[in-house]
Amino acid sequence: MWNKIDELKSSSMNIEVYKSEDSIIEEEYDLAIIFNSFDSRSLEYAKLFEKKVFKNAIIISFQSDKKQKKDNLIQHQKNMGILCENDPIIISDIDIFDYQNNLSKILVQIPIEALQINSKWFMDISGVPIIYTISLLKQIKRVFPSPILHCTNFSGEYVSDAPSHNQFSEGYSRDIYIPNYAGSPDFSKPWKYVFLLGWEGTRSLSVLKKCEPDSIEIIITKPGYKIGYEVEVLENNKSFLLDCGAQESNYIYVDAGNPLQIIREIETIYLKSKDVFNLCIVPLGVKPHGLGAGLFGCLNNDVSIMYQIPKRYKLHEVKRGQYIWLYKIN
Amino acid sequence: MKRTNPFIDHRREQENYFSPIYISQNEDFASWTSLKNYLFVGLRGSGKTSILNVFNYELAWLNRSSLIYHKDLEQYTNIEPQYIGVIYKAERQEKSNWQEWENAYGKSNAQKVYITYLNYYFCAKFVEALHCLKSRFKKLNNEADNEIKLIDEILIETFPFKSTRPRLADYSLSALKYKLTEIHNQIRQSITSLESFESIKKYINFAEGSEMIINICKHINSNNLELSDKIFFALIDDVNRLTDWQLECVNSLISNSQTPLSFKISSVFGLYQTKNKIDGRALGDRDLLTYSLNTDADFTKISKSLNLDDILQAIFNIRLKKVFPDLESDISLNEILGENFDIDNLFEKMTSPSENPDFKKFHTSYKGEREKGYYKYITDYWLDINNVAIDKDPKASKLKKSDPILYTRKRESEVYKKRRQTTIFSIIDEYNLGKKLPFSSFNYIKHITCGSVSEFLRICEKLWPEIEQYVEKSIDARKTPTPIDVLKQAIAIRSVSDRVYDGIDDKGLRDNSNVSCKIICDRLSILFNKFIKLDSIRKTTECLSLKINEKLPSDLENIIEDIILFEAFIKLKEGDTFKIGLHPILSPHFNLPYRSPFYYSYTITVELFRILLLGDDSEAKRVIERIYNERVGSLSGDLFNGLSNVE
Repeated sequence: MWNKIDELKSSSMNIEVYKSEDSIIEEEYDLAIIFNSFDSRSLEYAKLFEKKVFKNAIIISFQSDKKQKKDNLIQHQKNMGILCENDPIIISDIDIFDYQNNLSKILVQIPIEALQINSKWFMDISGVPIIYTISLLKQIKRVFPSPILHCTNFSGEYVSDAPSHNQFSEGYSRDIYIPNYAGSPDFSKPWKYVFLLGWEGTRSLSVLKKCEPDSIEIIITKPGYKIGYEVEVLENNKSFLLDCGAQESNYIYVDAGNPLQIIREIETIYLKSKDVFNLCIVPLGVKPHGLGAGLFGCLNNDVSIMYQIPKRYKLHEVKRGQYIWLYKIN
Repeated sequence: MKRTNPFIDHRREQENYFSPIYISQNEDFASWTSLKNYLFVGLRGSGKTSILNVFNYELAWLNRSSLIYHKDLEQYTNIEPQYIGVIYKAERQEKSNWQEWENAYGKSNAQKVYITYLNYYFCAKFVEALHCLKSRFKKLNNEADNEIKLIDEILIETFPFKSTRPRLADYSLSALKYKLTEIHNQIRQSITSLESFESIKKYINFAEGSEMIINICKHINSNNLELSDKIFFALIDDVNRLTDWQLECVNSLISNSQTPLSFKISSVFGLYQTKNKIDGRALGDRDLLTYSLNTDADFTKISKSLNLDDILQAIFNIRLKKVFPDLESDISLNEILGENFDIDNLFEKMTSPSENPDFKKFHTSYKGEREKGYYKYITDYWLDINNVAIDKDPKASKLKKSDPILYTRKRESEVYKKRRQTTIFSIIDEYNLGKKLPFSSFNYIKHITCGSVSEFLRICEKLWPEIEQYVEKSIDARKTPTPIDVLKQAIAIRSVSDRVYDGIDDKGLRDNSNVSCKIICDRLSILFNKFIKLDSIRKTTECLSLKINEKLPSDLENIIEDIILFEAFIKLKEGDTFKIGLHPILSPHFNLPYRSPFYYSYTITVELFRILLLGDDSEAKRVIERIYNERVGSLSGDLFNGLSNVE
């Protein structure tokens, strides 16, 4: 059974957050957008449905020489054979770093019948780099009629506690604004950066050193997907926290699965500071936090969202954890 | 009473937005506020942004109470500014986004768009400034003010084609500013979403040079009598964040500027990469005057910089007064931290002879000699027992006993003082005493922070309990404060040094290689550490930098830039010659001497430099050994002979 956890109503968007341990989804969708990922968690969405619920589907698969990824793609295709009325459109073998072109490729493949009034789309965000999730989100919210979007996110169970297992990327090549989230800053004003911290502490430090924000706010996941998650986050970000001189009493803690809490926290910061600062959000943490940042950016076009492009994404197995989150974005 | 540590925020910028800006004594202030174009260079935290903010209309006109002038500049305190400045703070991400667009659509197109982007930005900002000033100062809204005419003129200037000229929501400066900002933002959105040049061309009129901005400034002059004699400053902060081709655009704007417009820009020291303009010619020296906030760009002079003293003194007291509102007179940094310190005394204070039997033996022997009056310093004793002759005269060491006056004079000479610094590190090394951090006092703090206010504030943050105690005693007439203990200062300085080191990126710079910015710093520290070993000391003083006489390939240059941003390297560029040294702030961490990094640079080829930086560990080790052998091997005999590789 889905428990409604939270809800946000604004003039341009309504968002509902549900949580469950083992429910199914009974609704039907005009389009499913599925990203092929390495982890087994990203295949779990199929178990939420019991019949053909999708009219159309797009499966996106990035270049990889890993057998596991190839196997997962086959599994997604099989899933869609069971769940989708029409043959899925497969966009495969694309370079994960070619963000702008990939987004265009995805958008042009959307069938026209999925763009009708009250169209309903489904997307599982569990294994998708946040840059894709929220770039698509903003594009979707820009089109008319804008579809209703349901996103699922499976909490993760990490197969190892080794520090290397917690690194999902390696190195960094550049800092960019996430497509569609460049914002409209006033370049005479100082910058306030809102860091949504994750496990990779050198990322936050590198953004801090390179961008030299004039003011910062820190958001940490608590509770996380596992007990003591926030302790690891604090430990991994020790240099960053020392360097920015942030006061522990000012850290903001937000539930790992609830993007609405993130929206509210950022909104409070935004309202307090918008006359003085330009606001830039740096999502480095869990995916629902990134989604929350993206939703906030949809509601406030002047805000910028930054992304640090890694040299490569590291692939690790993540199993399905205890909870499934469902976000209904209307 | 527990007070909040006022030094927790290390950014000098904190002063700009929320606290007063202190304008220090400077004979050049009148020149800065003239029509001359200026480039302000300095290290991070040296106050570049503060200077530009002083010119920004928001402070200069609207919030004058935030400006505190040094007594020699009091003539500026009450007069209306003769200038209207607007600021553009270059953003880091632009480098990536604009670069990506340039890669896709070519340099020439990118420069056309970027010049236009800056033109619309500054036009919008000058209109905004005028709007704000008119809202604040009634005298600017007199009969002679012709706002409608001005709006018309600016619209014609910024949208020359009638067909594309926008209609304003109302005929106000505010609506005009909104339209101009819209163009600027639209260009930025197009760049970040990699829109084609053809599609951008459809909605903008390309600007060339800075004519659009100059003409708008002239229109403001001519349409408002009260502002007819004002000059206009386009301020660009942190041009080091721009790519070379973007900087060429800025240089072109500068070379093109004329009355009533002037450019004032700032850059991190050593990172103003090109003087070239779009047409390929270089900006003349007189087109852009350079002012270094670190005294002649020579780091050896930092500790002697009065200007820096004033700034640190002012910021320190501004911060203190936030938590000590009753503090009437300023606390002197020379008094609270001490001006200088005795390195031998500090070393002895930090060292327990019992921690190492060999050191104990050495120490006992030294004490015996000291009691006889032969030695005043432990370092001199060590130099003598190791037969390190510092004087050219081979009999010099024997003079100590036969001629005590000459001996004392020699031992107090500069040569000996410098040698003693290095010697301390050798003693630590020889007896495995661990890192004993012999750094303390205001002069040394200034020296190792290289003029960085941020690092200075970090050290103050660490010393806060002692500072607080000192100030409490200063306020209490019954008590006399004593300077902060040298050992506590040394610990605070070391802790800041460790933090800078921790902050250096340790991610691999290349695939399949573990070499990171941090590893590069470690390698250089190993090399420089070798130069303070006994064999080196016998022949010369330490070496803390490398000199490269050729142009560096761009990949190496990028890596060095990154390390400079992590405050781990400092660079001195003279034409195509580079000197690269470890930042003195890392000296306590690596247990290296703290003299100027650019003394006695060791000349190295690009080829060896590349291996030292990017080779694997064994290759780098071989380069270190080779440099060491060449340098020490070539320095046989007398101290000052055969220094072919040493400057």
